[in-house]
Amino acid sequence: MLSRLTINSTQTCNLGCKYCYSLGGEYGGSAMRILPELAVDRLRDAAREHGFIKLVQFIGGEPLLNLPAMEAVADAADELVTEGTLSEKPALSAITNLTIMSDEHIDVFRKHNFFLVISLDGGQEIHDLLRPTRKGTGTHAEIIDNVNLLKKHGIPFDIECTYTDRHVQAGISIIHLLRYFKETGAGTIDIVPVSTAPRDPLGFNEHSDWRTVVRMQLDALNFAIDEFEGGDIMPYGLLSEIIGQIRAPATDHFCPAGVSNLAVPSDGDLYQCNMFTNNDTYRTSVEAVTEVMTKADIAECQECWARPWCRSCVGNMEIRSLGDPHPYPQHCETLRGAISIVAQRLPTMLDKAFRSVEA
Amino acid sequence: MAGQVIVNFDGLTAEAADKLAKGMVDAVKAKIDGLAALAGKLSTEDSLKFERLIGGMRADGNCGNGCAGA
Repeated sequence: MLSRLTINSTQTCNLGCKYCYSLGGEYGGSAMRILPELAVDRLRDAAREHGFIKLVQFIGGEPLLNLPAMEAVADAADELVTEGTLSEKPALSAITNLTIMSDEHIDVFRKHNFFLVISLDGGQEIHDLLRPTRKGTGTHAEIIDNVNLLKKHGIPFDIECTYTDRHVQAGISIIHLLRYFKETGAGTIDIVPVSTAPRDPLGFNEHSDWRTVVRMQLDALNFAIDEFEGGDIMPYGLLSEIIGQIRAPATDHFCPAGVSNLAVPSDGDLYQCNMFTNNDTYRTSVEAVTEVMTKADIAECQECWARPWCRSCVGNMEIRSLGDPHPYPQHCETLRGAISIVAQRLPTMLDKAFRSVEA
Repeated sequence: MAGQVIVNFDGLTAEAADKLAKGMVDAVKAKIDGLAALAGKLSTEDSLKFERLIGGMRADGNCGNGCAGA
């Protein structure tokens, strides 16, 4: 069973985001788009091997630049279910900057029940500073227009914001962003602190910087719980993630890479996660599940009480420390604080938020 | 409200911290699972709210990164 098959429908992008880990979508290689037939072949290989794929997610670069590949894969998923190779149709999704959307995109999304994950970094000023086009022009207004189109056509979407030191310098807190994004109607709002190489000006390099971000994330978590207690919905991704981690079986894996995640870059090769594209250490095959580093390999994890429930992105660890991935204090403090808060506050929150169960 | 005092594991032995965390997490898990089992008795509004809280692709014990930063 695969929890996720990612397909880089393109490895090129129309934006020039300041912090892009995929280096403009090219991952240190060449700009390319996957051929629709190749993408379908890889889906068929994965379907034959695993029989069930929970999610097929298109990623880039900017995946919407290659609609033919997305449509071919979505159609093939239907065929694989009909012929019995897949037990059910995978959920279909794309992580997109949402600056490109035609009637054809909308038709495909509606036909195949896509949900989108939109990269949006806040209001116009901060977003346009961080996520401009390659020519340097702003993209915020265009994205909001396209969000309204999604809503008009009933296409569900999440928002994902990369939180940087520029946000902190501008006085934009995570709670501020949650309130702003909620107005868009997003299903889930993820606000993820940027991972950068050391000394990158957008990153949180000093101890006091990352401690500030940890505090902001925990404040936002308390805020989201407060909102639920008051009967409102504040779909903060961190809250859902911690609940999911608590409910999932304890594991020593940091993430599904090498366990139930497979990534297809635009050249059709295979990696354990798209975050590792063009990194030979993480190359894999459709049959072989090759284990990525686990908590058992990390000295600091041995006596950490959060070890059974902790999850982390090994790709982010590689960005911070290429060739020597290891958990970083900012992540560990956030996870321990968040699990503490959820474990302590959720019982009361559930009683207050779901009163109808008593009726 | 934001910044509420939370249980502090500092100063506990590793064994005591493990036991405390496991007890707290088990209690929360039981509470959520109990509510999930009663989902049919929730009002439509609460049912939708509960789905938003525990549902979705992110709430499955995944990596939690969501590929932010591209």
